[in-house]
Amino acid sequence: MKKYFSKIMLLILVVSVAACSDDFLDNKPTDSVAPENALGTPADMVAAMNGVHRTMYSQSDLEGYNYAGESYIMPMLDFPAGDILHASSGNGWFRSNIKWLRHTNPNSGDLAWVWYHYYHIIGSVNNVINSAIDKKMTPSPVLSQVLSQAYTYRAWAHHRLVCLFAKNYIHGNPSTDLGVPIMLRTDPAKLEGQPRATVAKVYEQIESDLAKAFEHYKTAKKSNDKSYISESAARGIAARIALTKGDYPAAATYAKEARKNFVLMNEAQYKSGFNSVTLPEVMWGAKVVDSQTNYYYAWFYYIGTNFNGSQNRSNPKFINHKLYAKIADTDYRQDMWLEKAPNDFVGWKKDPNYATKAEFDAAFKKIVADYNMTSSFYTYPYMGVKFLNQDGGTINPDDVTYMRVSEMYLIEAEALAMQKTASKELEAKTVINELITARTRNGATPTKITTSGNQLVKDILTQRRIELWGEGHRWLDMLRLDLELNLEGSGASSTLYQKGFKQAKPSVNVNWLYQIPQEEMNANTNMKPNPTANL
Amino acid sequence: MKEKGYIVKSNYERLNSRLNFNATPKDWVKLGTNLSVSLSEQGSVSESDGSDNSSYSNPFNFARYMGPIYPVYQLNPTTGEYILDADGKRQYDLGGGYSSLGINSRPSAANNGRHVIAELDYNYKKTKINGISNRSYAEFTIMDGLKVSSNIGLDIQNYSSKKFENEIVGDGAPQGRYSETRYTRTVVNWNQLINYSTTIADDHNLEILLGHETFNLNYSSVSGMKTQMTVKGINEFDNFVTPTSLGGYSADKTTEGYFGRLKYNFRNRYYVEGSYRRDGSSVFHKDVYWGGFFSVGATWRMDQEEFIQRIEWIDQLKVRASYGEVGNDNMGAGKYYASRALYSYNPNAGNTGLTWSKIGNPDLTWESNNSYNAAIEFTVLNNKVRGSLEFYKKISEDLLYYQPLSPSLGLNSQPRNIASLYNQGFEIGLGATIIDKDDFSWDIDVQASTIKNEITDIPSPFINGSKRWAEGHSIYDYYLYDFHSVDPNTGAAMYHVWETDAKGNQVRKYNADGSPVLTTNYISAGKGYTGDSSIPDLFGSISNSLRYKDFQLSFMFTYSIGGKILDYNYASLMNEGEYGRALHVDHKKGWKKKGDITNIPRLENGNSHLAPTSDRWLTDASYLSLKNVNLSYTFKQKKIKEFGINSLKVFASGENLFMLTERKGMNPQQAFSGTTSNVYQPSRVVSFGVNVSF
Repeated sequence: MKKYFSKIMLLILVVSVAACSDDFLDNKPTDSVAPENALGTPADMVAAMNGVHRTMYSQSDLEGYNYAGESYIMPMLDFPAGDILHASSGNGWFRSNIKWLRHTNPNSGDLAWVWYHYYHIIGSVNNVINSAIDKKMTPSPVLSQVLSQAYTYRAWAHHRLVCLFAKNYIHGNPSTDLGVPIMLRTDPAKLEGQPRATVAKVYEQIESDLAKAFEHYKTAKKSNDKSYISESAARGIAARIALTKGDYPAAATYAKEARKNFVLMNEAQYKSGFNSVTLPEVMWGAKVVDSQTNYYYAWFYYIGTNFNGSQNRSNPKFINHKLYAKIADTDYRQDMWLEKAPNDFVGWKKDPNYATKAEFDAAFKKIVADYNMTSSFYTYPYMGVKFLNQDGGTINPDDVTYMRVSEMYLIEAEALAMQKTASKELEAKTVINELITARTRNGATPTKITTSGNQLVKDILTQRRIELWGEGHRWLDMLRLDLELNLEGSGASSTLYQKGFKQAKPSVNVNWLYQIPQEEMNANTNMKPNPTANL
Repeated sequence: MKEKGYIVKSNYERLNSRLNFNATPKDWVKLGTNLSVSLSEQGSVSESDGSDNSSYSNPFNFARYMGPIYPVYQLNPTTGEYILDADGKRQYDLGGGYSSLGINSRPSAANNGRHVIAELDYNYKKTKINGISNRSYAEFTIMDGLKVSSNIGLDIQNYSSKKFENEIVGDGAPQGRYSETRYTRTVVNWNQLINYSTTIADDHNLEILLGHETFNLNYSSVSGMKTQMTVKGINEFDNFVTPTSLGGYSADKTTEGYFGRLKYNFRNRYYVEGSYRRDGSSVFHKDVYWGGFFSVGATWRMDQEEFIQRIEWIDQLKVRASYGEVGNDNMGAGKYYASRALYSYNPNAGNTGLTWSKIGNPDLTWESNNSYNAAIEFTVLNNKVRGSLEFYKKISEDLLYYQPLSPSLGLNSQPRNIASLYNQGFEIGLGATIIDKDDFSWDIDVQASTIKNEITDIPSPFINGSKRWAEGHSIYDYYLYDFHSVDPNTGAAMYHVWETDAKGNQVRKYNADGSPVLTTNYISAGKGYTGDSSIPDLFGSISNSLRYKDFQLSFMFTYSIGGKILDYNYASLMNEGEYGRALHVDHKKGWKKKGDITNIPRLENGNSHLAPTSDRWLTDASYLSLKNVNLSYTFKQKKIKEFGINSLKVFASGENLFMLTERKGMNPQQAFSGTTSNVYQPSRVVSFGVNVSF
């Protein structure tokens, strides 16, 4: 036995090192944290809300998608709607959108992205709201700051979805028209897609969420960070929602309250390029820092003048000629577009604005110099110079604006005018003329609006188109105003726009409806599709 | 080893070294270690590996779909002459247009403003992987037949990738940008074994093994990017100004297993064995770490039996059958925390931020792959003919996969034990020596396999790309729009409409008169199972090896019969007519005027109904490919001996010499799921060489 002793000791040794301790298999990731870290306390939930603010403008981390939130969706809501037009097919971005081939195709990634992105925001704020409820958190200014925004986001995102994916509230039958699923909780134990609620039910939920939000805003901790939804911005959202519902008194009231802490910009500020949330009119927007840049997914990559990407260089965006013609000469916003910019695509011989090559070349050089472009940019008649980079000719990041106070003037004026009483019309004119005055060239007499009735509404809406050009509103406006799309005389090329050149108004044309994404149809047995587009 | 690819800068270099040491310090102790080091370096084309199928920097994507009329270099639009720079060199036409030269920009479908050759030329990418691998063991013989041993394996991989994107054209413009990724991947594998083997009463051979093993993988990475280059040609961070990203993380995966195995045979004639193991994995939640797996097997060496030995023409005969279970915890590369719900870091400017990113699944547990095998192996006719026939059935129980969820839930997938399915088939191998003379011999080997795949259980069927996973179907069954024909009057593509029958299946819709219900709107036609699958009926290889005097010739064909490929590459070339885009020559046979009878719709820019993904692109995937040929001549020893040479052989060999397929240029071997993408095609390699030994 003795001769085996050392060997048996060895055997015991080998066997005893074999069993591992219990936590050998318990690894934790370092690139992510547990939900508890994001939802455990109100302070944690501030980080969870910042995560939502970031997804609003930044390239997505969601698998399969690179789009940068509103930086992509706002142009998507403008380009097929006829006011901000493409000069060429550029390098391809939005080429199919302007032909109306994206939102009408359930297999389109753009469509899936809009749907998924907004529901991801809803799911994210639901986690916050439900954690506060489930954990019975003690009310505090920080908790209210979190919840006021969470409820506002939930209302805002449901509203964006119901506007795009369902028939319009004003021109449809909201009590029977299918809206979108109302999502109030994602239960990991029961991951079943919900059916579409009616448009009316979705609006009810939106209004109930807004009411809760306003309750929390009363006691919420204030922040100067414009990416946070302030109480004013929440009122602005409420005003937008009331307007799409045709609730004009509410829209006017909300808009008036929303704008009270803000002033209109002066000419210099207006011409500074809309690239900074520090501009006084910005009510809601995101500051983008160098280390969080979106590269070629930036908002300005799509709509900017001198962002140095091939999209911008090869495809200057121009204003609908008919809209440009409506701008008064006294209005400095006229300078946001260069009517006589050389048409670089055809050269001087075919450009009626220039008699000689020298004049053509000089005009090109002047634009390149004035707007910090480089000579590899194309210029085009009526091109916009509204959106200018802080560092022209680079791809450095610029801020993203979701809401400006001038929109509140426009909502208030429109909502007052829509009420069609003499006193409301008078109020409407006061509001709109205040905006017009602020947009009048130094020393010039403002071209004020003096009309009434339907013409007054029309005139206010024209101001709206001029003022909010390129800021992501036109598609939603056309839906709620039930307008046809007709690009005759706009300067748009019918070969480029094809099916996006002319479309009958939304109330008689299913092509305006965003299709329910195939991904949702595939995975959600409760889901009903929208009628197939007729293109 | 050094290989230069056929794409600019896709070169590859490798250096290996190895060290081995074994020792027996006492007669009952054996020790050994083996160390190998490898250094490798690779050039730029990483974008062609299929992960970046449609990017500008993918040379296959870029070149394949761009109209071939566009020049690489700037040309004078009137004379067609190259426009040379001050040094008399040609200049790339970057496609953004040069209005001063009268050169228009290319349309967007012709890669406006991008230039893959210029970008490969101006950009820089260098990937280096240094690997160290060590295997050590110690074995102690405790007593006769009883051994205790321990093996440890250590693998360290250091990766670094340096990438510069130029300031002139592409994503690095206008300032130039530089990025770097580094990671270290460390794997430690350690086991402890007790092995006992004995023979009882001369006839009973017994072997018992007990063991324990651990696996520990650590991955740690850092990557960053800076923009704005100071000077050209220095591809390091210091040469750049503004950091635009910096990130890094570590991840671990650990598994642990206990196992035992019993082997027994009687007179080397009847063999049985059985094993059982329990495995735990860190991928899963604490409550479901562990899974148990067993296997049993038996072999009968019939040729050891007297009654077989009496049969003259049988040399060897063996039958065997086995059943074995193997656990799988792999959710995909780097998915080590699949069971956890997670929030990822996402700061909002200067504020800390967290974004909801993974839904997790605490119930996620081991997938079990259960294989049944039965085989017969034989050698007959004086070892002239040999072969095997094997039946296999591999059941994947609790298959691990990401279940697509309704995106309206806020996150669109969840890791699950999604389904149970099986693969089954036969594998036949036959070899024969047809001629065996002193001067001439000829051997032939034929392999043939079949495969059937079927999902037996799937609680939530779902559409997975061009397939739909549902019970009773294969995971390779196509689920697509059904292209029917071209309307001779309009040239429009007509799609057969699908409808849902009483059982809830998608079936093709017919009018009362039996004619198909057709529409020109593919979206409203819907999708269904077309009845096609990407898996072949039969596939395998045929090898020949011939010798005549001192010449040797060997060659191997591989083949596949049946199955369909969904040829996306062809579909992209058969587009509806995008400005600037390349077209397949088949468009010549397309509809042009009223009355044309054809299967190729008209061209109409912007009409999305003419060429969407549909069964129109399903193509017979059968192929015959000459994989390799090797011809050599061995010099007679007596002729070379006087030069002090022991053996001398010259050879010529070729790989991927040709392939017969339904469509020229299509590679049906690209993916088992039957789709094509813009990837690096296997090169045709022809080499000549000399083997000398002294």
